[in-house]
Amino acid sequence: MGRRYRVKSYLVKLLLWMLALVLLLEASSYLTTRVAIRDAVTANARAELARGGEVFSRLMDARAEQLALSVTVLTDDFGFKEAVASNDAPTIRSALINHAARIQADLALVADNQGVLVASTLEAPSEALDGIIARGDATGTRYDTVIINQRPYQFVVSPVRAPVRIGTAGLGFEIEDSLSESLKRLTGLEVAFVATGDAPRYLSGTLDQDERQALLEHLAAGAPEFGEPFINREMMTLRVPIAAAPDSLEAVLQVPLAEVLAPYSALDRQLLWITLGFSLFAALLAWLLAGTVTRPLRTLAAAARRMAAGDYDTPVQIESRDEMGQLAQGFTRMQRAIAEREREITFRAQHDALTGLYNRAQLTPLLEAELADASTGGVLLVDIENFTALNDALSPEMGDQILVAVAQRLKALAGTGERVVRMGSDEFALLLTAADVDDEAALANRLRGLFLAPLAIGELRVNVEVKAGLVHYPADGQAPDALLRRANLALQAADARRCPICRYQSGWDERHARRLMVFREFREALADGQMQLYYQPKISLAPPPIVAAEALVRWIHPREGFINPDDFIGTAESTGQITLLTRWVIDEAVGLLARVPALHLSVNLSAMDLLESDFVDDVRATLARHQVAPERLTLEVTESALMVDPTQSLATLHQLKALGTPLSIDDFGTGFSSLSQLKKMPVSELKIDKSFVLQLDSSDDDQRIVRSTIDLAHTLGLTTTAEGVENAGAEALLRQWGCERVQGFYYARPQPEADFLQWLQDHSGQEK
Amino acid sequence: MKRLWLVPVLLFVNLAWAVDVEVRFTDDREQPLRDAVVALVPEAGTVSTDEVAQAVMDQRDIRFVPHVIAVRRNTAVSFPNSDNIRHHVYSFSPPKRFELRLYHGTPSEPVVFDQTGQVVIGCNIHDTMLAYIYVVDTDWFGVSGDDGRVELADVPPGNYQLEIYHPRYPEPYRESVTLNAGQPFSQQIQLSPLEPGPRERAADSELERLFRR
Repeated sequence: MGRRYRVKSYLVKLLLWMLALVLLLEASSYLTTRVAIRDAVTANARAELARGGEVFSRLMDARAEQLALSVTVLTDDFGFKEAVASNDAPTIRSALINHAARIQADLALVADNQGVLVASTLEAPSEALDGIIARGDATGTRYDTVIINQRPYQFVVSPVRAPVRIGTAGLGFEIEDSLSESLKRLTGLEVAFVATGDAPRYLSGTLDQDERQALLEHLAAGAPEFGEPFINREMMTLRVPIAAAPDSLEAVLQVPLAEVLAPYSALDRQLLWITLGFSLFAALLAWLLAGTVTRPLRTLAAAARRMAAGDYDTPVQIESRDEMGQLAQGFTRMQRAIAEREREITFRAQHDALTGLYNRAQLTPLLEAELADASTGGVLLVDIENFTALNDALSPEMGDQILVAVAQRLKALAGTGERVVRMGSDEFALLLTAADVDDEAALANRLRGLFLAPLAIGELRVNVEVKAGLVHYPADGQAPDALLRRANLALQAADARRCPICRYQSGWDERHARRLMVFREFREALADGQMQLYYQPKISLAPPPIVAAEALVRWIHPREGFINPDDFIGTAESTGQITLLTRWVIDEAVGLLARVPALHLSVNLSAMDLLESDFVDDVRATLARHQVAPERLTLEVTESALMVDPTQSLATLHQLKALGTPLSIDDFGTGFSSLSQLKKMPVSELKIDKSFVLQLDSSDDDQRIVRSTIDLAHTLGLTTTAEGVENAGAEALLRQWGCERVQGFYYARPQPEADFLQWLQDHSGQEK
Repeated sequence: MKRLWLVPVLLFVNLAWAVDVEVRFTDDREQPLRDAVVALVPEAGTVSTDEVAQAVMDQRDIRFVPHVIAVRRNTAVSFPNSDNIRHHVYSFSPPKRFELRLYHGTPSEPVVFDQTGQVVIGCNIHDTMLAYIYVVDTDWFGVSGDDGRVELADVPPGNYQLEIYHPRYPEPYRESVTLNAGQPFSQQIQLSPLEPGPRERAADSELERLFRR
């Protein structure tokens, strides 16, 4: 079956199958019944024909008996005996004719005891009779069927006794058509007597010319055995042997098949009508049944299509209470369940499980909707201060409760929960109206006011502070991601400035972008030689005079040009890339020390460097490679360098001290280090931050700080270096207070190596 | 093939003139055979036959008694009817064709057999009745009894034709024999094969008819 004919409809398929089944059943039952009946009828006909054959044989025998009896009466006639005993052939012949006529024999003859014909009504003696006469000689009366002169005869032979046998009389009775007719009347069969020798020959019978011809042809072609009915040309036929020798003769009994099958054909017609009727009825039933199956199926299919399209509200309309009805109810229930689940899934996909607020992914669509309305407003990014610490101090569960409580309060600020989004662990975004954001101070107050009262977490009262970053739209950006990024920068700024709310200012984003660029390009900048060391000379105010300088890193970006160290050092520190930079700087600086004898250089270390386990070994190896004495390389650390891991950092510092490199505290006075910490650090120098030195000559406060710092350093046995010296007044004060070394624009700016070397040459031997 | 065995046995020499002749008959199974006819016909000289001899063929219980007789030529045989029913005695045999129409008692005239040969006697009413009369041209003849023996006493010596007949032995048998004075003549003769008796044959054929159905 080709694809074209594939049946799509289940109804049609079911119908076709059922119809095919019904038709197959009906057809097969019809055919088998038909064949069975036909076989039975035919078998019956065969049996009847066989019986007919039997009757025929009996009738033939009975006739022969009758003939034999009449012949015996003849031979017992004394006159006949007398005639035969006379031995006078004409007398005997006349007696024969006379007596044969009495019993209506067609042939008559007398033979002597030797079988020699004495008299005969035949013109010529027939060979056919020799055998029968000879046999009659030995026995009493006999009869046989013989063919004489192409005609069949029943021939009776009887001895003539007077009183001993004096001869044999034989009388023949022709088998005429009239005999066949009477046999036909008695048996109901067509009768034919056929001589079968080399070629079958029809002798007599009831057949017409055509039937004779057909029969002879069939016999000539070779017919089945005697006694076995067979079918020939619409005739059921039975061969009955009559005589074998010298000429074989047989009777062929026939009954027309049409006659045999006549009752059958009526039955056959009835059977056919019944079969057709049943088929029609079954087809109707199949159609109805298929309908009852497929109609609800179609309804269900339609329901399934509706559900696929997202319609979960239309119930499936099948009223029946059977399996289909149950299925329909199941469909309706499933539909409701799917709708419910879909709502839940959608809600979960859009909302934060803990607070029930929108999740981060929903901020963009919300913002997009706002922006599309061309309305103005703002995004407030709120962060809980020290949430991690709170979480650690209490418990994650309580942390969660805090988050829920904070979310509750923030909803009040936004006016509705619909405009609050939970961004991350302790970060929330609020979509605010223009009215909300226009007055920044009022907003800050409202935010602070929200958290004045402590949060009730179980029995605890927890005070929470929040910081917030604010962006306005469309003023601070027209795209959700830009707005969010900028709000984040504002939040960072608020964090850094320790103010509760901070609005984004233009340029932050660019700076942030630059920082990102630094992060991405730092490593290759280091490899490409975009980094350079600048050197700022350190001037000795007190003996011994030392030729010294601080090595400062500069990044000349091929596209961006000069990049401020403040812009990349911080980023490098936060990403850990600073350690690479430090090693590069040390390598460069030590290389210069190797080339310029008597020079001392200071290099800034980062807090990260002190945490590197192989840092000290690396420094030692570098010094060894360049064969530079450790005393010539001063390593500067800030106070805050010890903040991250004081133990490890101190250990590293002690190792460096042991190595022999002088250590210096950089930017002293800006950090929050305690004096006890200062005491632990194995440093030999304090560097006073330039913020105290720049206006030293005009600021009394700065003078007091610097002076006491120098005193403090001296008390602790440390030398001091002042940074940011810009005028002679400052130098004079410092010199007066005993500060050992100074550096600043007053003497020299940080300059490239070549300029620095030139500067050294220009100022060699020149002391102030 | 019909065969005849003659077993001459010379026992002892008798000096008397006359010769005693004894012929013993047996059938196929070497059982004594009755109804066998022996006739010694002298080769030289003829026996005077003008004298009419007498013989009787009785009919009793629808049978001819005896079944076989031998008579000299020119013997008048009477056919008395001892039954209380009528008989119709006839013969179509060439030596003597005659017919004694239905009668009771002894017919007025006996039948004179003046030709030698076998005469078969029948009854037209009772097909089973059958008798044989052998007409011979000699005075020395006899019919064997139940013991199969025929004894002829005081036969003059000389040359004879020994003639033998039997109803079931179709060919008449003739042989030249010489009787020597003082020498008894004894012969044992087996007739073989014998035809079946006509009565048996008739019974057979009836039986056969039944079988043929």
